[in-house]
Amino acid sequence: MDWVLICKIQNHTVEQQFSQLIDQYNGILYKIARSFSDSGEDLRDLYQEILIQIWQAFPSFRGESQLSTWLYRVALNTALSFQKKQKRQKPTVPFDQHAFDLPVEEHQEQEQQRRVDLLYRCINQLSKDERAIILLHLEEKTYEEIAEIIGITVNLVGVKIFRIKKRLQQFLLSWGYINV
Amino acid sequence: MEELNLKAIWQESETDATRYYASVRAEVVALARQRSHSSLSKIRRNIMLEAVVGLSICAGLAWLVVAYQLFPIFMLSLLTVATLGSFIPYIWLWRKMRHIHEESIVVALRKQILVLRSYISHVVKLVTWLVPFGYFIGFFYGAHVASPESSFSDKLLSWKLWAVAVPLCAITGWVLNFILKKYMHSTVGRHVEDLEHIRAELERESHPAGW
Repeated sequence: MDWVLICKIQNHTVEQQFSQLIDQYNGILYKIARSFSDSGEDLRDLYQEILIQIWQAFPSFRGESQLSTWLYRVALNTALSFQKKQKRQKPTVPFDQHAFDLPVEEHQEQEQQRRVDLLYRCINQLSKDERAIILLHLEEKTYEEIAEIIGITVNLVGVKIFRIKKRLQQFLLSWGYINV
Repeated sequence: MEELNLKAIWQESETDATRYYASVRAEVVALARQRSHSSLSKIRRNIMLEAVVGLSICAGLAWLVVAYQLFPIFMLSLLTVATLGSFIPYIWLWRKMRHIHEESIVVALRKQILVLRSYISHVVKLVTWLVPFGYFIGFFYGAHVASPESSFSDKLLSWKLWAVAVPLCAITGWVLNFILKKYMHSTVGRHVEDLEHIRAELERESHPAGW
C-alpha cells in the first residue's frame, strides 16, 4: 500500500508504476513461472501471461490486501490455470539450453546452478496445488500468509507443507541430491 | 535428510531470476500489453465478438421487420427476448470474471470453474435455440424465393412446408448439439476438470493412502 501511495505522490505513469513493481518482484515472477513450466518455451509463455494479468489487474489494485499478497495471488492464479499451447507436442527446449543463460565459468556457480536446476526439476514432479503451496513456503511466507493467499485454514497449510516437503525430499534424493 | 536445505537452494535461484529479468527488462511493458492466451481472456474476447455479431444480426432483422412489415409485433418481441436472453448471461459472466485473479486461489478457482461451466452451458443453449430460429427463417425465405407467386406469410402458414422443415431442423439441431457438446468438452470442459482437480486437492483435509 505504501508503495502505491509513493507512486501516486510522485505522479508516476501507469507504465512507470508497473515497471517499478516488476523490478521489485521479478524474482518471484520468475520462480513461479519456472515452477509451473516444463521447458524454456513454456517459461517464456507463462512469464509473459503473468505479466499480462498483472498489467490488466494493476489499475484496479485497491490496497485491500498487501501488495505482495495481491501479486502472489495474481501470479499463482495465472500459473494454475495456464494452458500450454497445443503445438508443444514436439521435443521441448531443456532448461540448461536457455537462451538467457550466460556462460558460467566458476566451479562454485556451476554447482549452484546444478542444485537450482535439480530443485526445479523436483518441484515440477509435484502436482500443481503442491507447487503453489511449497513455493510460498520456500519464499519464507508464514503459514498465516500462505493460508490467506491460498484460501485454506492455517492448520491445513501446516499439514500440507509437512507432506509436500517429505515428497520433495524423496524426489531430491532420487535425483541424486546427495552427489551435488 | 537434515542436510537438505531447500530454502537455501531456492534463494540461490535468485541469480537465474536476475539473469532472466535482465533479458526481458527492456520490453516488460510491451510484453504485458500483448494479447492474453488464458481461457478467461479468450472467453472475454468471444463474448465481445458475439455481442457485436449478435447486435448486427438483431439490427438487420429489425430492419427487415420494419421494411417488409413481417409480423412486426411478434418478430420484435421475439428479437427483444432473444437479445435479452443472450446478453443477460454474458453480462453476468463478464461481472464474475472481473478481479478473478485477485481472489485467493481457492475462491478464484471456484469462480473460474463456475464461469467456464456457465459459458459451456450458455453456448450450447444459445446455439441449440439460435440455429432452429435461423434455420426456419432461411428455409421459409428460400421457399419464398423459389416460388414468389405466394407471399412470405403464406409460406409461413403452409403446413406442408412445416412438415418438411420441422423434422429436418430436429435432425440438424440434434447433430449440431452433439458435436458442439463434444467440442466444448474437449476444449473448455477438459480445462474445467483440471481446475476442479486442483481445487479439490487444495481443500482436501486428508490424503489417500500411499501419498
